[in-house]
Amino acid sequence: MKKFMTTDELARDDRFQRTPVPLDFLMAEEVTVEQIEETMKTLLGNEEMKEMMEQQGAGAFLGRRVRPTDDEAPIFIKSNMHGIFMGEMQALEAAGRSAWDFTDDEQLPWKFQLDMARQCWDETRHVEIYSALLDHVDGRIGEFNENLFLFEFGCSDDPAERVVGVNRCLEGLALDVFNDTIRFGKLADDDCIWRSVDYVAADEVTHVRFGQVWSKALTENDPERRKKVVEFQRKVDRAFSLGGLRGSYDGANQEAFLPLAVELRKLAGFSDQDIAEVAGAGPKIKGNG
Amino acid sequence: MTATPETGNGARAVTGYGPQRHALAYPYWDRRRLMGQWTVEESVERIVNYKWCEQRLSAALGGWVATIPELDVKTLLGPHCYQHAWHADLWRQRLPELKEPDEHRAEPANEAFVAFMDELTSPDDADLTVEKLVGVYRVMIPHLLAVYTFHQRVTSDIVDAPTVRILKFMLDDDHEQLVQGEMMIQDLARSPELRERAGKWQTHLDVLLARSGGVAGEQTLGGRAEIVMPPKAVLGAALRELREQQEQAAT
Repeated sequence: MKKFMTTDELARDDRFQRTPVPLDFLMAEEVTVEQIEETMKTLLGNEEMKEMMEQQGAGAFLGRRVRPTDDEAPIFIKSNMHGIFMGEMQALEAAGRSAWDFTDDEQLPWKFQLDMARQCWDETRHVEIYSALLDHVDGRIGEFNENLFLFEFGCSDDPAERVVGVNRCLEGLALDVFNDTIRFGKLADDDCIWRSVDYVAADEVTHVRFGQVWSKALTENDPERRKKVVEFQRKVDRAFSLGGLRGSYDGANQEAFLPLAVELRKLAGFSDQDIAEVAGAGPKIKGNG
Repeated sequence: MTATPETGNGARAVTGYGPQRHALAYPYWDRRRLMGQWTVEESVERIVNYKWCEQRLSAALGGWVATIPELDVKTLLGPHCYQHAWHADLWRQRLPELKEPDEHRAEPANEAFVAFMDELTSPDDADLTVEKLVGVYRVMIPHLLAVYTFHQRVTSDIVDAPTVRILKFMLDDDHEQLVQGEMMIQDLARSPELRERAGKWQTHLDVLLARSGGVAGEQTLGGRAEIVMPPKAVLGAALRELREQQEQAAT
């Protein structure tokens, strides 16, 4: 088995339809509202959702949090569950590759592989859980497109960058999304959703913590490498800000599309400064009134 | 987890292997449950109680080693002392995984359980080996076996799978300890008088344990059985109506 596979080599069955990774958009230092809307339509939407976004205006759809009693709630939660299901699959693949790709690196302690193997098990459960939750909200695998940007941006050939990309950035984004899903499930009085996702969020706190610990351990006494890893982290955090849609603080704006899960991130070892950096990682948005 | 005919791993949905195989994310034999008895927070509170108990038990076993003159009993307690410390450590590792920031948390469920543990660990003299063994292997270990088995059965074996796996190791240890402890008691307490002493001490401790409700307090054991049932029987007029509908649908 070769080391370091590329994103387009990830194996899928033929239900999965891929959309191209919007590299330019995710890397841009400045984006327009129209670009955000168009990209999110492609990333989140199927035909039904695109139609709804066009009828209401994507901006109206993305500019607030959907409530369980809204007309859009069924399609929104299906899109959400499907998106996370695919994200978990990429996280599973990334963790599995992290356990495999660096086995020739004699500098890397055994504990690194052990942690990655543990994450591999956890992500497997998450794939199962979100597959079941997708069924719970009457969705089906393949109903929405898949975008591989999480794997694309998260997976570097350097182990320190890998743990930053996958564990700190990808799993950090997962905390934000799960925090929002738990809130949605509680508002809907749906125990199946919020109680299941709460366990998943607990797992993700551990994974983010792995990222915090390993990124520090692997760059200790090597300021050059540390600098390179921090630059990589900023790049990935920008990409995972989804054009700046993510980033409001919890409580500060409960109507925002995707607030940061501040408490969960702190449990995982984020400092206030770390959180502020993630909040400010997105591009400048032009035409935002 | 039940697969529906439309989406399951059954023949209709599966065509060979490779990209045409539209399988579910779990294998066809999977019958696990997504929903368990407890929330994350409730799980943490139970684990904190278990951890306190395992720590106390391990410490007592270690302490007794030096007070027991019978060499075979002395050597039995050494490995069990370690096993319970290891169980406590597994619980310690599990706590941060369940969002509990203080991995060192270990608390008894209530004062009555503290009183029970104090009584269980009170025998000190060298001629009280039977009481020491009875407390551990006829009262504490059977209780932990019941509680851990209950926990393993009612928590979700999907979302809480790491706990289920931890419990598997603990239950394996505790089953073996139960057998070894009982064999030792039967060997030591061969006279009717010693058997009576053993029985009285066991009852005394069991009453105290019952007063506490158990290692996790009043809610240690309980809940409603939830076995997977087939649909209700359809008979008589309802069955005739159903068959008519099926015939109409077929035509």
